[in-house]
Amino acid sequence: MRALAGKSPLVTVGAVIVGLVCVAALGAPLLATSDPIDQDLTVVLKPPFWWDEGSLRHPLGTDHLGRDVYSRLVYGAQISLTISVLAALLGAMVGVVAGLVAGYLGGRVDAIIMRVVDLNLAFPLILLALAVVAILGPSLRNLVIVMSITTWMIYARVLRGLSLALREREFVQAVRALGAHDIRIVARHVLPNVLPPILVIWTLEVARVILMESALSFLGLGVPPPTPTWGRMLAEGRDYLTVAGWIAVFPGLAILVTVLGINLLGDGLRDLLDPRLRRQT
Amino acid sequence: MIRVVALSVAVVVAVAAGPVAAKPQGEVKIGLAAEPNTFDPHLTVGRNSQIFIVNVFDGLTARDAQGNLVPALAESWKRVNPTTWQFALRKGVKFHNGDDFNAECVKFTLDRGINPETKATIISELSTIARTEIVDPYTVNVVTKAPDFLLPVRLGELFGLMLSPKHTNAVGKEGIATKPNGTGPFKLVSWAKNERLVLEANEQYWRGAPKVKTIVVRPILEDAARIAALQAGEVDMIAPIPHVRIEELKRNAKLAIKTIPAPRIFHVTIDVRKPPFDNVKVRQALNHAVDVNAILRSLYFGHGTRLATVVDKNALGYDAGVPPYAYDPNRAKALLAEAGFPNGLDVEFDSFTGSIADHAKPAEAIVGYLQKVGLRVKQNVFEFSAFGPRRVSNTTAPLFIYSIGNSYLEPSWVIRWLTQGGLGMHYKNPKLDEMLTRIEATDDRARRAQLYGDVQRLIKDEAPFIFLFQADAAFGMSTRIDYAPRPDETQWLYPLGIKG
Repeated sequence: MRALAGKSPLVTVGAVIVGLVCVAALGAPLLATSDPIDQDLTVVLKPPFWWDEGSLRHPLGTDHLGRDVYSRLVYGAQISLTISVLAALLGAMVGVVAGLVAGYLGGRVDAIIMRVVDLNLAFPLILLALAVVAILGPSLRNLVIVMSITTWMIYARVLRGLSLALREREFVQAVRALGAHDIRIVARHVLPNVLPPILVIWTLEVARVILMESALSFLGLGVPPPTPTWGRMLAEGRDYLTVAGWIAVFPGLAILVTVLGINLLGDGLRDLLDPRLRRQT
Repeated sequence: MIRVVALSVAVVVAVAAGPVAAKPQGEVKIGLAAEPNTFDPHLTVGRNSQIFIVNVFDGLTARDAQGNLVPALAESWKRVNPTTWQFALRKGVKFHNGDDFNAECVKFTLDRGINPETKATIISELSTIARTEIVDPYTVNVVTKAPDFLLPVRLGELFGLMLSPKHTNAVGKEGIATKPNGTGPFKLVSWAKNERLVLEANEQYWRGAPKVKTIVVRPILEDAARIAALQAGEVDMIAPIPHVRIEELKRNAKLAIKTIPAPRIFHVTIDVRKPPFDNVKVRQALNHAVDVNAILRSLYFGHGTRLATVVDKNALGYDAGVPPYAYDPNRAKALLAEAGFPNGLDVEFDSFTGSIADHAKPAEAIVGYLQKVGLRVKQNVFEFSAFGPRRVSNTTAPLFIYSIGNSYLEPSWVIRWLTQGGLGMHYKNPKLDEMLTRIEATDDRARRAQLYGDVQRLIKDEAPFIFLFQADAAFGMSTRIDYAPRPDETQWLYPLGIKG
């Protein structure tokens, strides 16, 4: 990792950004200067501290209900990151199992699983998420489920191809000849060999899911108020762009920087874990 | 009533005798948040359609700029018995295509409206009518199923627009949607849906020709885009304007921003059937807990009016002497403690997005206040189309925000609606019913206005709602045009003029 970081400073940047966001998310209760959902209608739309009417009491200003933008941003990191990581994990688990089973068993099971994948891929994802949230109702749990539905197919697709190839490799054939059970073969011999691509996809999917969570919150289908999430803050700030731009600008920047950081880190991980690239270096 | 009508006739005649001889000229472009879904007065969907198509038609009655009921296609009206209203029609009025307006048109229009085959979307406002009888070519009797003191208002600009039988039968049900033939001040000359709609002055209009020759209407859905179009001079007038942009636009010397209290009454319905909300002390506590004035200042930038009850400021009999609940969180906590909830209570609160007005923001602010007096509130946010079925099946949370447009400017209509015993509204009070029944049997407006005082005091004390506010509607226009927004939400363009 260090060797790679030396060659590509962008990975370091990515790692630092992701590290900072994680610190913000984990340390939200300590870092926040006020209660993120406490309203005070006497101090609405106050600008950040470096403006004339701003004050350090609300370092990044207040929103339309007098809530502290900075504290909401920090807590928003917690919520947005938790949802995205959980959704990406759940999607990965389902997708990995489906892909391994399809690729390893082949035949009718493969056909059925891959047709479901095709079907799911053929759906416009945001539309699918909108429909599911509308039916289940918006809540943290449902949001995680909905977003994992939009991400599992990618793992299934990739893993099927990989396990199809691994199935025929000598070491797998050898274990099978020794009489190992299918489950043991997949878990002990196939899975470890496909972990690197899973990790790379997972990283990039977290970034995509953060964007999707923002989009859903923006459309009013995210976590219900008053829970702060970046997408919700962005949506709330939209109406005030011309008079109190900071309400939308800071969460917008947070989403941009975080997604950029994760993508940089993901690219770096891919370079590090790809054996072909590793040999060249 | 007769005296009021006679007075109003005098006003109209005086206006008509004024300097209206000038020929219509010039063009005005207007950007609106929505366009009508149809020009068939019986099939309009949503207030946005009803408030606009009035420019092509006339009702039997109309409202003046102050919201008073005035004659239109009917010159006068009277109740001949409890269930029969008699309308004396204006003579010499012609439809755009030259057809004469007479009693036959009124009968045809109202019969069409209540005919189940028409599937009128406005049937709830017309279903009170049993039948229409022609007395002579310029007199009709409208018989209602039960006494209906509101009938002359119903047959006004929103729900009483008159059709020509010959034209309507000739173009058919689909044709009338885009080829309306009314008696109104403007003719529809072209309509490319979602793009532009062009109106032209009806120079033979019975009130006198309108001042502007051509009006082009463009639907511009996004608030920001609509405002940008006005600032760039692409359009001369827009409505509505979000409250947050009003002050900024007022600083622009080339624009005039006019606001008027819209008759839309925001309130939180309390399900009085469900404990602890059957306890009046709890309901009063909720009213003391919310700082409505602060909400008006911060979310509406002062462009709204605090209401003590569910009677809006421009409605008949609004009693300024009934003070609103004061914001007093300590009193709220004390009342909750008296009711047996010293440690607060758990409650759900429904809100929604995507309706004619923004309910989500005030809801969030209200929930914030309720939490401060110890309520543990779970706020639900629905898409409006998903919230509707919840109301219809009476499965709303014990608290939900809503607003009702008082299109008749008559409190009894609003209060009856709010106490209908369905759609999530379950407050019933025989005493209130009795008071309303007495009011509805009173044709004298001044007397009715007086009687509404006690109604407002009773509702306030009973607190079946968290009483909130009415918000202003804002119109933005170029200084080159002259227009005054109306108190009943209609976009009545007849008085629109071009300066200089």
